[in-house]
Amino acid sequence: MDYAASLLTVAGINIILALGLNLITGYCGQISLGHAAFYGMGAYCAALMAKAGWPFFAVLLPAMAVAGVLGIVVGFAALRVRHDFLAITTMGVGFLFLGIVRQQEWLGGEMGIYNIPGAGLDSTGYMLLTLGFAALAAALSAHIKRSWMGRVFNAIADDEDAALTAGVNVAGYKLAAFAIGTAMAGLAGALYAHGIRYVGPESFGFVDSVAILCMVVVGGVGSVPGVIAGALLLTLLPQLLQVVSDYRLLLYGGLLFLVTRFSPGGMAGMARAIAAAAGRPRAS
Amino acid sequence: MTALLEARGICVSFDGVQALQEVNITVETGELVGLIGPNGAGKTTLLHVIAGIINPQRGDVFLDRRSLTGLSTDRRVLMGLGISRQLVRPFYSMSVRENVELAAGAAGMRNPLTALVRRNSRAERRQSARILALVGLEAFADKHPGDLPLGMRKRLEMAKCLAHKPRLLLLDEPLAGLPQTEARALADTIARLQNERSGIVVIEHNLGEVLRICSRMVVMDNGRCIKTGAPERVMADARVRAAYLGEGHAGTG
Amino acid sequence: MLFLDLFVEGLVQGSIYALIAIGLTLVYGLLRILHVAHAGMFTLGGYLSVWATNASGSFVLSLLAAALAAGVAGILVYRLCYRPILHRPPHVALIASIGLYVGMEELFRLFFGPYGMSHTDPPLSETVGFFSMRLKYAEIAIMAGAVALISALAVVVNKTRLGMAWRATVAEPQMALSCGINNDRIRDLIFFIGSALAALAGAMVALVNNYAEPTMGAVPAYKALAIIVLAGLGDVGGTLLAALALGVIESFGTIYLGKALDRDAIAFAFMIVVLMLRPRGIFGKG
Ligand SMILES: Nc1ncnc2c1ncn2[C@@H]1O[C@H](COP(=O)(O)OP(=O)(O)O)[C@@H](O)[C@H]1O
Ligand SMILES: [Mg+2]
Repeated sequence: MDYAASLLTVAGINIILALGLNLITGYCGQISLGHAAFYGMGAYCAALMAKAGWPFFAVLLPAMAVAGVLGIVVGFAALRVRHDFLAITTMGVGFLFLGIVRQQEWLGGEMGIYNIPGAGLDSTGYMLLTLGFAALAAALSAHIKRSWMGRVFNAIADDEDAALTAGVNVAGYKLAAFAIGTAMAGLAGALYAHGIRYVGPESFGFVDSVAILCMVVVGGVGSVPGVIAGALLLTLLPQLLQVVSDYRLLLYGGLLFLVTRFSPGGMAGMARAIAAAAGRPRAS
Repeated sequence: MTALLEARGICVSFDGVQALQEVNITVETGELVGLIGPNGAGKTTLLHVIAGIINPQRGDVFLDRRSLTGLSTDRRVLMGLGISRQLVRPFYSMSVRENVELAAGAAGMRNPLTALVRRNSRAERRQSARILALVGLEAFADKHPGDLPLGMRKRLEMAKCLAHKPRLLLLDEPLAGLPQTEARALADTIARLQNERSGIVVIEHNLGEVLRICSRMVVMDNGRCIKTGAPERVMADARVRAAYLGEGHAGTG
Repeated sequence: MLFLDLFVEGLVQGSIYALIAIGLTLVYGLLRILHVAHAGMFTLGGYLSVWATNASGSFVLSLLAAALAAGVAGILVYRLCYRPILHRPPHVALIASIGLYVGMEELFRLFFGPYGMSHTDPPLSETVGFFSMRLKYAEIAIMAGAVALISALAVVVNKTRLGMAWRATVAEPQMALSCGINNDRIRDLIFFIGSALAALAGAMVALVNNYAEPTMGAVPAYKALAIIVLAGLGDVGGTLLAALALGVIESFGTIYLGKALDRDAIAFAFMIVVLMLRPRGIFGKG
């Protein structure tokens, strides 16, 4: 039971992470290869505050705020650079984050921060809480998609220049996408810090950013159910099958490659294609 | 009459190539100005400067006497510019109606937080229906831009501009690539858009149609404005004829 | 003479970066793809050269073999991985490429084992005095080799038909495509040359460290991306300068900024600062 609970807790955290990145990359079209940096920002913030004696629920908002503010700073970078330049800039932000954390004594350096106080819940309770937050993140994502904001994101992802000449406040919306998406990563970080009760630099590197991106791409860029399915699949599969666990990176790499190569819509795209194929004979 | 648009001393160079040299242009309310000149004369570059798509090395642009210098394109659009670029670029992921609705809602939705709590779009829907009728696209409202012929996509581009009720409409080669009958119909539509409170600038190579609809012509060549005035007078000018002939001899533009 | 030490160390590192980054630039110029999996060729070159040197005893022959094999692997990567997705938005190829690279790293681990591989009798390991420093012959060979290879490449890019086609594609992608200048033969050649250069770089790094390991390509891969982005994407001369500059900045940075930032972070901090000032790179247009 404990094992299942902690596994589902990690799955919930990954869902929040993937939905946050989906907002930035899927909805708004701004590629980010540094999402783990915001995750780490939230985790470290929560770890430090919890160690200083702050209660669990008081830590969540500051962790989101810190990650979100860093997200807005990176968002400002996204206003200057585009496409490939943005991809590499965000990747650089990830390396920069790690590089700084590793050298700071007060952040635990290479060793990380140990013995973080828990949330005061048993493992099942914490799992339910995390999944609750994941459900909230999913609801927010779905709401944004249907709101006017979702439309504008769509337009920016489609053609940024055309959005400008249509009078759209492109800069403002991009910053909003980064702020919301990275604040979600900050929340995931805080949940991680209290759940695992340890944070260290090795959990927030480039490979972790790629893993989050992988969940989004494999699930289906822009699709909320798809991204949730992707996050679940890529979290649970390595845990349930020991073989897969040994080759976790091969799985991530291979899936990223195969999905972009053969099924660009991810699992959501495949589901749509299957539904369409099933629907066509009846319709005709 | 006060100048609706005034651009003064605009200089632009790309990698040392002078694309615009001390260009001045004014547009009064109620005017439909035809901006012509051989390929590479700098017409598109001038439009981009006015629209804020590129920043000039020198010079200022005023709309209704307010300086536009340093403002982003979207701000200029909200201040009254309508920009239709040479290559049509609709949002291919949305229907024609949604394209226009998006533009119609842009002014009210500058703040992303208001957009977050906004679900219905009744006002935008009404306005887009009106504009689609104005440019003759009602029948295509639910189609996707990718499924439309070029002529209809050009009309969509114009509809997106009109959604902001622009004071000054800037059109870059709206007729290019259209067969003559369609070009004529679209030119008529443009002429209908002209009114006493706003102005239109049309960059166009289809001289017959520009001459027919515009009230004044501006001729550019080699990054300069070489002549402006009533259409017949301009076309009779020796320098203008030379510029066009020169283009023929130079070959590529 | 700390200054000179650091400077030379930076140049050695920069030469390695340059050899990797130039292949990336060549590919980017032609296809507008950030070819992350390029670093896989670097690792492949490292392993193959160590393995072949141990097997045959001839370092030079092994270098040639590694370059050849990686070149062919490069062509396969283009044909099998990139060509089918060229029509899709550019980030698709980037994501596929990251996936390919992460997968390749794992394959190296499976194939060659997790602990790396060393020369049984490392060639060029003697050192020579140079002012106050001692340099390995291998390090001198790296610099000399990089200069020779990159000069040869400069001649290729500026003087041959292949180079002309490449430059035409960088300047006018649409035109080059419709004229058939940018065709599969050119792309095969570019992938071959770029991958061979990366493999040589990998071989040299394996030589200096006397060690080839599955993840040896990771850091150079991301650094090389930073370098070609710094240079402005698709600029051979600029890439060379940016690579050398980054090598030198890193070696000084680790001494003077090492307390606050590690080596990789210095490189990316430099890149981010440059991009914020010049969003299209140092030598990029506009
Ligand atoms: N982005 C650019 N980079 C470099 N040169 C440019 C760019 N845009 C335009 N030019 C050059 O500026 C000159 C004017 O171009 P343009 O304004 O497009 O002319 P027109 O629209 O009158 O045909 C041409 O010589 C063109 O090659
Ligand atoms: Mg033009």
